[in-house]
Amino acid sequence: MRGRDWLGLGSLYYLLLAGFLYLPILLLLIFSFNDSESLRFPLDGFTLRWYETLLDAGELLDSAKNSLIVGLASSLAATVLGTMAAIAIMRFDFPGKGAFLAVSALPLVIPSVVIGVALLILFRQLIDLELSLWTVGLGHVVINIPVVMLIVAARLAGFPDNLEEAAMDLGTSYWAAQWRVTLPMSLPALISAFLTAFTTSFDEYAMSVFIIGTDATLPVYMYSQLRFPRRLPVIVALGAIIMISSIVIIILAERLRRVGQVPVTIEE
Amino acid sequence: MLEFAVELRDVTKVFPGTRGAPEVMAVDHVDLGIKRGEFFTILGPSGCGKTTSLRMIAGFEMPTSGEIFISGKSMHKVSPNRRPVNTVFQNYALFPHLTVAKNVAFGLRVKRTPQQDMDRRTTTALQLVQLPGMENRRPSQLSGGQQQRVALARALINEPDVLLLDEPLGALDLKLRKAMQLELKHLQVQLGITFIYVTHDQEEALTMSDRIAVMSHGVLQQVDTPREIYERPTNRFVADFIGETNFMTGAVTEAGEVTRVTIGKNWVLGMTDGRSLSPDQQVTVAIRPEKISIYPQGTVDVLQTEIGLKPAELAQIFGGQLPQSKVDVREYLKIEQKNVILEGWIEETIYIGTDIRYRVTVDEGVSVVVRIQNFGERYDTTFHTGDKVYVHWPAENAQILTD
Repeated sequence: MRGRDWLGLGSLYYLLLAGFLYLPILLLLIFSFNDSESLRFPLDGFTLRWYETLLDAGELLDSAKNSLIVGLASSLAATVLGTMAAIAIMRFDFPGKGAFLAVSALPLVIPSVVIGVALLILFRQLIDLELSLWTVGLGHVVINIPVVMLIVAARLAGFPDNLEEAAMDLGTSYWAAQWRVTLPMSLPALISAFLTAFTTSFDEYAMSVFIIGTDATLPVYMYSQLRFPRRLPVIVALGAIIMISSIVIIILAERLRRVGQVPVTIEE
Repeated sequence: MLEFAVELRDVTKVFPGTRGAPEVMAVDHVDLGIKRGEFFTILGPSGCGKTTSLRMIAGFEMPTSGEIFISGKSMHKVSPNRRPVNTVFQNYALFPHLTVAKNVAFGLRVKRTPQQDMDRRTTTALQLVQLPGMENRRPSQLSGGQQQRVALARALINEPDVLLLDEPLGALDLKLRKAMQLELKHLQVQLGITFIYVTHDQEEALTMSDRIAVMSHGVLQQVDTPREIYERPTNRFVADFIGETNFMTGAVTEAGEVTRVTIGKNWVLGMTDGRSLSPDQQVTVAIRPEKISIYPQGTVDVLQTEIGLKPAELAQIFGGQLPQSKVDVREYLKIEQKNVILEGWIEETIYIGTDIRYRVTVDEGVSVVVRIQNFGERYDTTFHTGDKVYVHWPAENAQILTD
């Protein structure tokens, strides 16, 4: 087949894939404006009342606030720890480095449900810690560290490893070199990692549900409301909002991740 | 000692082994004294310990044993940022997120120099390396040679006692490299700062240095001026690594200021240079290709036709009288004291442009390479593969090496 035929086939494949992924979200969006309590066609008319209801839903707004706090705090912690791990991996040699990398990346491949159960056992059986938003936060840090580490490590790989040495040669201490050179250069990647971690945390359900206490996070609260059929459209409206904002944040994160990568040198 | 800008006393560096790799002795009991204002080069092949030595002077590695002194002060446990040295790295290590000006002034900014001073000194530094007006460019917008100069300016602006250069010209193409070599040398002379330069390029070392330290496998082989290193290598490694050398092995028959060595059915002479030799000892005779002369076999008239010697010159050599044409060339060559004459034939001719090289086989398995400068057609001294020739050298052109 010629090149152009492949392009057509590839585009078709991509359209089908995108459709498969995003059609349900589109439907969600449509139904959030639908004037009916059931999610079915034909549509009953345009309304904004579900969105209006959101503004008064006290419990719902509380859980949203919880998600925000847990998200920000756990993302910050994950970003700091993940960055430190990335610097260790990329700029140092130490015994057990391979094992360290493997263990740090492990949460990526373990289903979050499994991590949730494991943490539940750890918190309740082994340390006798009360379940709360703190435990949820800890869980989110665990699952986000690998992603942060990989994003930042990829960024560090993009510039030579003796920039810190150069800075020290010119008079800074090691930590000052990190502050003046490594961190400013990695800033886009750090922000990108933070946003990615935040989105993951905000949307996280499977693990959170195990280790949550009496205060709910938003996804946990939303799922619990699905028992009430009349509440469904409100949840749908909320889902639409979360979906759109997540997409926006991820696009931003991806843009930032690419900033300043692969500097080009002019040929002599 | 204040005469030394940098001193290494019995410095050793051992890198611990990892799983699967044994420990490495990168630097093996090295003693070095580098004088103030000197352009000093550490020369050797990859892995010889030269970069490790430089990094220990800079402070990026600490010696396993021994001590390093800079300007008379011990650098024991002193971190790189507190040493009066600056480094120019092989990959330049410019900060990509900063402009050229901010790169160059980085060291000054760390010392909280006032902005006006920083600007003034940055301009001066950029002029010094011939990059005026580049203040607001980014490193990614510069060519390799320009980045190199920015790295140089960034180091020199701090007025270090010693400038360390780690193979800074390695990434440049040949022509630019040669131009930069001269520039660096002129800069060093102009500024009077001690330069410690690391390279594997022996021509570069010979061109730029006041003194060279040749290293191999972590051990210093010879520390001397370029001329001494080239003309009087102390061992086979140095003779082989620097320039080209012919090596012949044989047994000592007579030892003195000049030693006679038997090689196969021939004998040759070389300078003993104070080595103690015993009869029948196996030694290596080393002589460089340009130090050997080549003559056609045959009678003396051939010297006029083939080599273009004038009758007056011939007469002078033979004591005022033009020799009979039937005198063998060998007789002409024997006239000089303590010289070596070997018979052979040309096995290979290689035309390099600036010179022509002949590989002359003088015995079974023994051959020497001879270099003749390409003087041009008028003084043409071209021989051809298969020609029978004499190769000749005076004793002082060869060295006797024991290792």
